[in-house]
Amino acid sequence: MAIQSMRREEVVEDVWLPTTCDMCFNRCNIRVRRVNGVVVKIEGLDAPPNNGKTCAKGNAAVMSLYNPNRVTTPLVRTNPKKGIGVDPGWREISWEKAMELMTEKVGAARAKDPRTIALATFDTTSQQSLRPWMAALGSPNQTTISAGFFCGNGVHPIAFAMTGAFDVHYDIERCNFFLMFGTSWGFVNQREAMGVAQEMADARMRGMKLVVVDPICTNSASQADEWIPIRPGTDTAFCLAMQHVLVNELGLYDAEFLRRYTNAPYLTGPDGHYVRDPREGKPLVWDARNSRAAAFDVVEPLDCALEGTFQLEGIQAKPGFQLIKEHLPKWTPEKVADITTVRAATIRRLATEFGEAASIGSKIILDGYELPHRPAAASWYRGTSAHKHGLHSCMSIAHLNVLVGAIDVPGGMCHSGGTGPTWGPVEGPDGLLVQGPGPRSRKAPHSYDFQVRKPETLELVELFPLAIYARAMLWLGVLYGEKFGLDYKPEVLIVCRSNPLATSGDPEIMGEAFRQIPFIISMSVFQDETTQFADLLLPDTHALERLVPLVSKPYVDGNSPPQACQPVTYRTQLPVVKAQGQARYWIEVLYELADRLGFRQDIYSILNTDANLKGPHRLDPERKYTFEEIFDRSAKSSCGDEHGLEYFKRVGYCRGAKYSAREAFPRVFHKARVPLYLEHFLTAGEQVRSYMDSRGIDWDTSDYVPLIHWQPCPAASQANKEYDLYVVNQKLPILTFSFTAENPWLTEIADHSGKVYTVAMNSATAQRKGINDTDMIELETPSGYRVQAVVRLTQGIHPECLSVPGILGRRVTSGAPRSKKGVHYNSLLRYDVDRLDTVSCALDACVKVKVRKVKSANGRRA
Amino acid sequence: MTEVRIRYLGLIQRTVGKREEVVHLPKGSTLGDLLNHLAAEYGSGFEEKVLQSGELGPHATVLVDGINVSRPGGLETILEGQGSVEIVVLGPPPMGG
Repeated sequence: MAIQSMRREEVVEDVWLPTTCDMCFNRCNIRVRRVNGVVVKIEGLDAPPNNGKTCAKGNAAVMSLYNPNRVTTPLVRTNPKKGIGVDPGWREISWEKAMELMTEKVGAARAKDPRTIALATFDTTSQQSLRPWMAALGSPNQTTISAGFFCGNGVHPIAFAMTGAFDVHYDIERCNFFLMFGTSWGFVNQREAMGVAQEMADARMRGMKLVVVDPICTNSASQADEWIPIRPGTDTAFCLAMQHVLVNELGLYDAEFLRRYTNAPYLTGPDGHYVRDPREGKPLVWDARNSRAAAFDVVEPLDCALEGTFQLEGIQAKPGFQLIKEHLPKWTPEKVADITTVRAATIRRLATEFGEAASIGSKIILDGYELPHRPAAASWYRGTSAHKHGLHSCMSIAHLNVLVGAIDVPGGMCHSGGTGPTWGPVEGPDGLLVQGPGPRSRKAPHSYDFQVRKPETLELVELFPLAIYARAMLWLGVLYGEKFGLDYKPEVLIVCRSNPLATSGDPEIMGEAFRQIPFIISMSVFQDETTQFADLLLPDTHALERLVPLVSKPYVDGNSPPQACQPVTYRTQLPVVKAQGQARYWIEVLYELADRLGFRQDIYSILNTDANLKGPHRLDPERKYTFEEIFDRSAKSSCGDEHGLEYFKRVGYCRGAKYSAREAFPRVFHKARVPLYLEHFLTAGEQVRSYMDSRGIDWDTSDYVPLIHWQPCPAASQANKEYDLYVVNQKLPILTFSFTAENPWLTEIADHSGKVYTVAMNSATAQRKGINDTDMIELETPSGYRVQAVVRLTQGIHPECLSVPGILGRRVTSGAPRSKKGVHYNSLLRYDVDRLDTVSCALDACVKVKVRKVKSANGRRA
Repeated sequence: MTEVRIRYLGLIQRTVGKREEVVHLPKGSTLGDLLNHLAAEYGSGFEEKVLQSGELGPHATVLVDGINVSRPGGLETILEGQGSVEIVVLGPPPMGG
């Protein structure tokens, strides 16, 4: 409507304004065309990391901005009954009344115990501004909930252990063989989506081989050299078989790397723990040159034995690598073929190709440094993480990289910006790699000197010593926290730009947990399943309407540029149009709340440290600043005095220092070792078991073992054979966050494809079941949940699987076209402790269903 | 003696039950000495948040006279007379999904 009326007007303004996108977590640099105050076009801004490109989601942001059904006024609930589909009975109130109510509820909870206030958001752009607010409030309960049930659980702990960084980046610019498990890295729905997509395209043109192992022929698999359909939840077995071929059949591994940079030579005793120097407690290695045991840090690395059995003061000791060698024959390709459904010859061939491509021993010169060149890498993400035994699965993939020495070297798996001029990985306990101290807000937990203890967080993360977070425990914390030792109950939940009831698995139990929380505040652009549980619903700004007060690097601070030796860019979100209705940026609302509750001064003091505000740009806690003023100080502190707010309004981003080869590929510049033998899993398991026993809780600790092993997911053990098909979820490049399912342009594309709002089934399976293309089928889970959908037949899916994409089939939306179409995958999942990976705290997304035909494509009932 | 004015920010306030205090230490004391003194005073809750295995915890930042000393060797910083120390403890990083 706005554009039509504009055509009749004289054009008094036609400008392009820079900002960053918010249609997924990547924050691509964009420029927005505004004509007479109305956004009419969005394009990529020519700056790293997206270099002038934006995806369909970015282009379509304008349709979310002008969605006529946005929340535009504060609303208060009048119906005390809560549930999905239950009318909250909203009543409009003024912002002042809303703030008074918020101040009363949050203030009372804070006075009682600030930990009783929890806040959930996956607004990655705002998290840096939020963390000081939470700390000053006094609550540790800041959570992302949604994706944290499934996604990075099996990624970030391993990234920290292997590189000291939050995430990993693959140097595919120098890679010749890239293996992907359960991810679409480089295909527009992963980190640094547009920049990495370009890297991937360039690498493919150069001849890099891409192999995708996945139950579904995903967007990435369809464009790969090879797609390996695998039974869900069996990647661990597949990788152990690859490792067996590399280690025991081909002897194709980087022995020097293992000796220098891993704990593979550390001697272990019959109890599985390291054998230690009795005086200093350091792990021992066997010095092959001098035929003696000595502390790991006094023996020349190349003299350390990797294999053998040694007698040490009455006990038999073996290097960790020897134990791995002896363990791997349990997982030969022949044995694993039955588990994975992948032929033994295929596994053996891929292991050989991977090992040979790694070119062990080869070197490359970058920036004058001669560095190891390992042009082979194996990658993983949500697909392997979201399983009961997900951390073992993900670690088994990471260990492929470790075995060939492809860690933090050109061509391999590298840190995601974890290293910089002022800090990097350092040697922690037992010489193992930990994140070094430095000016970063996203620091790793201490992986090797943890102490399981009485929980203080609602997520109960204290009971997961090897996890980065425990989002999937939040609901158990709310419902049964006391059982685990939590000494308080939540009073207030604040949910900002997040829809956990749709995105986190099992909406029924999530709803039950929500009903236990006395007061829920939701700040949202749209009404959704989660806002229906709110007591107070506040209108949030669209990303194109807000100023984020702190400058940041892409995605999460410290993450890498798309190419390892390219410059980083600093950026933020700048308002390009006025906020609609009474919408206010949720961080601004929280800062005003802090002012009313008297803790704004503490936020400023924390910001000075956490946002690294420098010299004259530090905030005076006694003054009150606008977000413009705070941003100006943040930008000048990070980018120099000439790069303040006015500069960013004009240019949109600031180019930072280029990463040197030494920073991008730090492996040979430090001595810290990475874990191949997982001794710390044993120690962690002993602590977890002891704590759970003390609480009388039956808890699975079977994955707290030092050698990676495969165990079937609960779904694979389904006794009732009627439930014979796995349902697998996949991300789509056009629909990344749940709110994108309400975007008319994106859903139109989805509709045109004919494969988004449907369920995919293998053609041969369908024939066996008498099901034809476009028939209506019903899926039923063992817990009795049923859903109907149109089936599409394809050869691009494992015969034992059905595929349901994205977060569709939404029950409460803003009413946009097609927003309720499709199947809601998370409703198929049952949430209970038996389905949790008790190491990484991922919820198992493996579910089996039985299928029946409801109606033929011609409309005839079955 | 060295007089140190300490300011507590973030999640540590609840652990120590105050926003600030003044501590007296022998002359020549280091930041490490101060933190160990406070750990003895406030117990395991302080250690969990600020000190882990003799190092600063992952979510703790310490400023001495306004300078961030959360770096290798930072605990060796000598506390001068009439100095100020700011101990900031944030929650678990809001990262990832």
